[in-house]
Amino acid sequence: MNLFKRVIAGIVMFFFLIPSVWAAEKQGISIFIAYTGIKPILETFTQDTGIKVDYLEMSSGEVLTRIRAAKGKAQADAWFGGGLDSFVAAAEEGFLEAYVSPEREAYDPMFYNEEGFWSGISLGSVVLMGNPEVLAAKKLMMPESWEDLTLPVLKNEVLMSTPAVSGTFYSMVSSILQTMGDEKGWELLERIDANVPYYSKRGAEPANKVSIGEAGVAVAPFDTVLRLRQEGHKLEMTFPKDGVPWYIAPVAVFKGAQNPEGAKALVDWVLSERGQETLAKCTTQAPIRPGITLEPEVQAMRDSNLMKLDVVKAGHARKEILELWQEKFGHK
Amino acid sequence: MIALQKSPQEERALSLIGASSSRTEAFLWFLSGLGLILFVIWPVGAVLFESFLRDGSFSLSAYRGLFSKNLKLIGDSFLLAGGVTLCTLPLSTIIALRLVYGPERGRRLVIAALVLSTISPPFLCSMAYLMLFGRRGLVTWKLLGFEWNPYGFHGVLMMETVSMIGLAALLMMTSLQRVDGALERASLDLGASPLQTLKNVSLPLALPGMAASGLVVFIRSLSDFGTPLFVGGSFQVLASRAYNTLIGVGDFPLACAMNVLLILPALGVLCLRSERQDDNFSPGLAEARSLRLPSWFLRGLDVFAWAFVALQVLVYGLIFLGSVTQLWGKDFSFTTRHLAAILTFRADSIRRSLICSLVAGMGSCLLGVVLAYLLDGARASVRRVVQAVVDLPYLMPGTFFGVGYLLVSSRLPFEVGVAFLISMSCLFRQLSHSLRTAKAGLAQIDPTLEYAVRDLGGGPLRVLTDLVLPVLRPFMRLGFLNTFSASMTTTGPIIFLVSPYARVAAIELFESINHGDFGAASAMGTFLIVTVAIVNAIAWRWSAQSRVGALP
Repeated sequence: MNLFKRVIAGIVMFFFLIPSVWAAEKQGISIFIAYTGIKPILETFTQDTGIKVDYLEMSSGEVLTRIRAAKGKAQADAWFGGGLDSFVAAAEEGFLEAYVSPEREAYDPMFYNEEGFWSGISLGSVVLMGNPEVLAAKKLMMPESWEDLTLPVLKNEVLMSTPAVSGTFYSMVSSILQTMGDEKGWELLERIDANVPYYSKRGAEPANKVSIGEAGVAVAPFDTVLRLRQEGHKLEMTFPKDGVPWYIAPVAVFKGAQNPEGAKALVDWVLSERGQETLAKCTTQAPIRPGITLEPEVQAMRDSNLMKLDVVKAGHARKEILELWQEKFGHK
Repeated sequence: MIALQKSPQEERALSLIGASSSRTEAFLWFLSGLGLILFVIWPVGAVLFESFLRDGSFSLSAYRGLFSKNLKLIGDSFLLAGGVTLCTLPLSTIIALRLVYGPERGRRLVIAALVLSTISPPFLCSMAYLMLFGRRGLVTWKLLGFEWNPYGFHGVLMMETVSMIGLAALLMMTSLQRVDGALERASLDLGASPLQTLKNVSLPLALPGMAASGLVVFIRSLSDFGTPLFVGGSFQVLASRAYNTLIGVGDFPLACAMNVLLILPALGVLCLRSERQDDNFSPGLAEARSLRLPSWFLRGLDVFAWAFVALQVLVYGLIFLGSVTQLWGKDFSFTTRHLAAILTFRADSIRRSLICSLVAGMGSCLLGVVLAYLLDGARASVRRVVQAVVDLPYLMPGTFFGVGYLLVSSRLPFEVGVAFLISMSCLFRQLSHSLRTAKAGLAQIDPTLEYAVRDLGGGPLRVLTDLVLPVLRPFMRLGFLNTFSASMTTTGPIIFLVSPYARVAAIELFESINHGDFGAASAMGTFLIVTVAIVNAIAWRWSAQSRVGALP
């Protein structure tokens, strides 16, 4: 009977354990984030305002899917960083709360949504990243422009993600199309495609794989390259001569947030001078508010030849561009 | 070949327990049926229902041309799943044979490697494999100096095979151990050679275990999207394309409809299969094995077993070392900073992971046994329907099962605890494995034994406690082990259920991997692996004190 008793004990324990994990304690605000160096930023926010923050890292595609599945029922209070196109879509589908922060007067209107659904907090860019060991072993030069990526010697050495899963690659594709025009733009993308062995299905992957030598060159977000370098990887980086695509990281408040006041306080704080200075210290994106001192390498990025873009327009064109992209390169 | 026929009367013997305690049985039917409806049919149905909704109104647009456009993906998915099953089965059988018939020495180490390989934290292990066998891998490039391309069908096939050998071999081993030694002896006494005995007696008797592992591997490979995403390159399967359609393209109805493509053909294949019952005959009275396989044969088995152990040592060694070196591949100096970083992870996410996984593990192994027992006495049609329902969540890519839970829970008028959702999703997702494992165990109980217990005056409860449970114990342990490990490490279904307030350990690991921070990820991975290993050791001890031979 010994074993039988144990099984019974197991069943009793089973029902005993369930309630102990049923509810999680909630205090402060909860946010979904897709932003590097978030931890010290939020710690400073909590110090300044006394509001505790719980966060979960999710790609913007995952966030959008999640709210859609919950039929708009708020899954968190605020949304911090990620692809602008997802924010645009979420605003259109009615998932976001309009909030006009008093801080936004200091900003150029091209960086925020007029109705207040989202506000840009920092600017990131897309660069080329190379693994010097792999390049040296194959006697390859580090490419310095989008045009260089089409050189036949780089066959199978260029890693990119599908723009559908990655805000970075979406901004690369849409920026190239916007500045070069559709015809020339697609033609360039097709020539680059000839060197891409496959498109990664997760955004972080190209940079990670190139950092361990799985290929020679990755198209990567500027801040990712700096972070991998900080971790100790030796990596080369170039700002494409024929134009650096850029994007803005937005912040937004979810409609139906449990703690909307806390979420708005976060928006105010991150747009304020104090918040922007904290971003300048903790991340390698460039805070947008004018007058913030940037680290030299971030300043170099800000001074690189950033393309002339309408990022909001890019956010709206997402569906069209992705469909065309899927048609041309979707099989890879 | 021994005649293993049963009379019809014997076949229904186990259900006699039910006949005399039909109230208990009805109650069990009610409970498990309710569980399946609430936690499987409802969420899966909600996902499928979404495929008919386009912008809030009913539409069949997601299904237009769905089949013809995805023909290649369907083919590739099944080709891959079939290939993985074909590769996994022989390899795991070889390792299981080595464990059962090989020398005592080294057995524990091989078992440890098998158990370890089932606790593979997703993405971290893939990363470790690439670092070892990738284009610049430590073994392939630095040691052997050849450059190859692991991305494609072959890469996915190899990686899935390696990751599934552990579970399949453990199940095979458990089945082989339950084979009656007396029958082997009889065959030897009648003049058959050891290899003939193995081929004609022992292996056929362990067939339920082999069938169960084959099906589990097949289904798991069908619904796995992580591996094809990671090493598939341009080779994609239905599961990974569906994931991409959901998260990347954001086409909710189409993504949900793609699940139908995965589920329908798979259920078809599985139904055909379950038509044939895995009947077996094994009193399991004689534990002692007198079958001595020739030493050249054993040595051959040894080669495979130790190759597997070496592979696991490499992969997990890399993970352990990764957690104490500054930066793998570049700076090998010793550091405790990654391990110290574990302390800064939130303690409550680790606690939540543990509790959810314990609940899921225990629930799934218990429910697996109850269902196996109920189905054993049920009509074939009922059996097939219930089996299909249980397989549903295992067939879907985990992400979609998670979406189903979110769809259901966000429509409820009251708040459901995050941890409860996580526990239940893991419990019911792994139930397919637990049920198949329990069935394999049950199939090895000879109905005549039940008569024996009854003739000696034992009631139905006695049959359950003194016959069924002791025999099933090792199989239940496997069910627990699988569900517990899977719950501790899975991220697919969970990413839509965790909230910023209620995180779990696997999410912490997932975030580090996304940052490309191998050190922190392997520290967290090491921690997870050690935790799961300790819990397994306790479960092993707890369930293995009294020997099986102790029948009344």
